[in-house]
Amino acid sequence: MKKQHLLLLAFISLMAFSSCTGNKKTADSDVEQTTLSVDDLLATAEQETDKVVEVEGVCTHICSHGGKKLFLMGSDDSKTIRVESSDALGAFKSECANAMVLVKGKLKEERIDEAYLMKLENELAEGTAKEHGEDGEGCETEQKAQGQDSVSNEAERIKNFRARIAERNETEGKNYLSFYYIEADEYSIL
Amino acid sequence: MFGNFKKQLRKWSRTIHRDLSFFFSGVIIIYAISGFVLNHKNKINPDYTIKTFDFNVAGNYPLLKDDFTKDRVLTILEPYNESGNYTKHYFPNDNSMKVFLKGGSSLAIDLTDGSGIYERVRRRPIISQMSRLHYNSYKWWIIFSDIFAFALIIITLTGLVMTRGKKGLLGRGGIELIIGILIPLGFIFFC
Repeated sequence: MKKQHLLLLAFISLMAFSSCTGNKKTADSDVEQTTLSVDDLLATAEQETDKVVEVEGVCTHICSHGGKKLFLMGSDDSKTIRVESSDALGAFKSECANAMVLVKGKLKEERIDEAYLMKLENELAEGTAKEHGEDGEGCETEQKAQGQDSVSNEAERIKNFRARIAERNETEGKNYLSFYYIEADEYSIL
Repeated sequence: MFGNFKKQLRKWSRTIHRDLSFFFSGVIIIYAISGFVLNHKNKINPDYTIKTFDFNVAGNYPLLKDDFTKDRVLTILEPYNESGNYTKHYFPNDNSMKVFLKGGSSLAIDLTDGSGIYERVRRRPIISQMSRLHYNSYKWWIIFSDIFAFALIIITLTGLVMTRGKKGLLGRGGIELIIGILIPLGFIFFC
């Protein structure tokens, strides 16, 4: 009886641990993927949106809360892309910090338009805006990635977005800003 | 009849309370320690210990970007035993250079006067793993901690009914229960 209990416990433990070893998931297809630099990916992001991409760069930051976001830098910190982990992939390993990391996943577009900014303003007014970064001061790395490293508070951030949306609308006829991020399926430290 | 039911309830409550408490002791300690550390994360970094070292790079100031080849950067890293951890260096602006090092450490140099800071980051053992679990990083850990959450409710309910008499729910235990509920309610309504 005791032996049966121990065997059952061992089996449960094995099942639990077998699923959290390694950070790679099996790729869905055997299509050969070209590894892009962050600079190249950002340059062609519009065409690559919603496609599976493989990109490598220096991991400059892993979000401290949960570790489910990291940032890959290209030639400099103005060429940075956010990578988000799925629930299945879990938190990124802390060993990624300051190392070259190869990520494979779907490139997604995040649009910031007037509706988004109005919603953000309302949330800020009601105190329900989602905080991120240490003590909710916002993630500096993400702000840099969005070209907002000189902006010091949320009001300025919104103002900056509005000015850039107006500028883009005038030059490209698009009344929104596009930021890109990757939904990671797998990653490895190089 | 009712007396027998109460007797059986207490008996089973003691058994369930004891076994679940033994089984989840490790998780309770993990959540307690990591919770304490996360409460004080402004003072205690749960993941890393960070130490900084000042140094100076000799040369004609301002130092030139072109002089910082990979080989030269590796030479600067040698005294800190970090040359093997070199990942990349770049120039965030005209006056500074930053080196990324595997493991999370970094080094920065002010090109105007050659002053540099090496930031050594070392992973904090045990506590970093505990706080990682606290954040529910793994799929199977989430399932396990969900089970643990429900088990805590069962441990609490069985704990409430397993003792009878003046130390039980109708005596001292009941007073302690009410005080314990009033404290969080006070924080919810008055803070």
